[in-house]
Amino acid sequence: MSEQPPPLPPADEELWSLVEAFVEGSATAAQRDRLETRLRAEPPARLFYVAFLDLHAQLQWRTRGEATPTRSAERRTRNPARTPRWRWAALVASVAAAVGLLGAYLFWRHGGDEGEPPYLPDVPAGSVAVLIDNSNTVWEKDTTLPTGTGSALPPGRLKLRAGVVEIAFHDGGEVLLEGPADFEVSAADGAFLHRGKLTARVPEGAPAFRVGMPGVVVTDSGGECGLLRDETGRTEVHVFAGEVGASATDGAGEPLPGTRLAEKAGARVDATRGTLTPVPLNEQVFANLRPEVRVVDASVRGGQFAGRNFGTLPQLTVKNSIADYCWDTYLRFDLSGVKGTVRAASVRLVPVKVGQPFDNAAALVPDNRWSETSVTWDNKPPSEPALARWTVREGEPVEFDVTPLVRAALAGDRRLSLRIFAPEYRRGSAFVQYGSRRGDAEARPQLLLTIEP
Amino acid sequence: MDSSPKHDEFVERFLRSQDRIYAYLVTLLPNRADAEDVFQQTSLVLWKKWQQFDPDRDFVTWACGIAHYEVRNFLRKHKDRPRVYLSDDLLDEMGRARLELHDVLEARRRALRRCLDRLKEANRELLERCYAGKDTIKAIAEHLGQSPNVVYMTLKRVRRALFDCINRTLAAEGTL
Repeated sequence: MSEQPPPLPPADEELWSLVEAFVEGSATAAQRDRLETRLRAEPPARLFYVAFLDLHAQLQWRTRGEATPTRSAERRTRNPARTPRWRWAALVASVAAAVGLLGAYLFWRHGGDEGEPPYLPDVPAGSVAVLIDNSNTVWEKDTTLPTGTGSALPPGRLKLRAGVVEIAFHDGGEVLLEGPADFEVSAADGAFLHRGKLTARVPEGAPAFRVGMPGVVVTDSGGECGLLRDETGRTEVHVFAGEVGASATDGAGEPLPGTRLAEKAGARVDATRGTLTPVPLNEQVFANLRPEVRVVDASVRGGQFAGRNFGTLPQLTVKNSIADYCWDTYLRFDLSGVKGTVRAASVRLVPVKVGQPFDNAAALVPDNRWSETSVTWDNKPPSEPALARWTVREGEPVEFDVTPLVRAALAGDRRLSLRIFAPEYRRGSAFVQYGSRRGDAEARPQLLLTIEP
Repeated sequence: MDSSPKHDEFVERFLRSQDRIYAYLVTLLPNRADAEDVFQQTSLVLWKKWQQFDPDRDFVTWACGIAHYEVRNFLRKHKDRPRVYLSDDLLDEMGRARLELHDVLEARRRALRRCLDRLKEANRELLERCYAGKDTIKAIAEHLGQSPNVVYMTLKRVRRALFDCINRTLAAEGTL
């Protein structure tokens, strides 16, 4: 038989305030010091602290594993009558406990050291771009920058003897470069083409991207253009979409008053005279640098990270847990290069890291105006109800049909945005990291099209 | 999976004691995300060390000893965080106090269930939402059409009411 517990003494207002501030995480160092002084000196204060913190813990425990929606929009439409009652809490906690136990066991069995959240590498300090694709390329020996797929690029020179590489700049600019080329990565929003050809594209919402060539600076603020500088010194700019600014430069490389090149226009640069002369648009010369479908992707994270952008990471994370550990992923396919009639379309995602198996879903995002480098949890566009659902398992690529959505997009602005999310709240290591377009080529999000010419 | 009687007993005790271990962690790390992180790590360590478990010893005391070590590890790794934590000596003291008050806390836990049933529906929902850890106070306030400050104050008031209810319930039973 246990001894009769001692009576719980009443707490004064100061002690209440100090303990509450500590519980809420708002305590200052001075308040902590004061609380500690009292806890050291007063056994009743220690009793009160333990009893109050135990109440706090019980209230937390009762809501662990609660399977309620996390999205604010869903919360706003939730029927209060469906709110779980406290009398269910013990059952919910038991289920959560069992699930947590199983998860812990499975995680241990797999030798994981991942912990609760999927820990992510930071973008290396000093990098301004990522070399996305490096397959079938040949590099010059004096290339100073790293050339592996997914390499973070600091400012420096890329010398490509043959092949095509894609470079994603941290501010959003995207470059496809075809060898032979001598290309200088200058900053997160700028580069210089010494020789070769490239296409540059700036997604909607991203800052302007500048590419210099001898005698000209081209500023792309949301369009797509091709730049050419060949062995003979021929220097041309061709605009495929949107408008592009072009300014001839003086002998010191400083831009002179510029002009706007309209969509479907071309211009030849006379570096000696500092002039731009109209030429017919030449799309053929850039044929290898304009893929049929382009993808942009980004994950967003909730809680204290809700204002932070994760668009430059090489993986796409999905998780539905407490606020700090909530992740959604956004994909957008640009279909502007698709020609012919689409018979079938599906999205393929490759899980590169999975905790416990759990369900994911995809939903249409009607608003295509989000940017890979600025989308956050706080500003993410809303999605429609889920159109596909699957269980994520390690090493099992996922494919789901989007044929009607692709057809609708082709009839509209030729863009398709999707949200990938976990429909159910799960604590523990229920997370997935899919390959992003910045990761390995085999694991990138893909839109698989069957087209009738 | 091992199916020895000792392992089965470990699993059973682990399942029954999870809330106590979690509460022990919250006593030292009141922030939910901190407590959850260390709870998960503690669970993993317990599973790795289950063969060291002595069925003749008190499971909660053994598990909380491991949890305490993981709290120290966690604070070492996150010493640069701006959040304030208890000093090392107080961590030891409050951890010890908590284990000594086991019977008191068990009685309070039983009383809490009855006190929650007596709460008004609106207050119970507010508690649930605030403690679910999925919404910020700001988002909850926005949903309720109130200011965050009002939600904070209401939460404090409800928590104090619960605490007092537990005291009254135990006093009426002669437990306190």
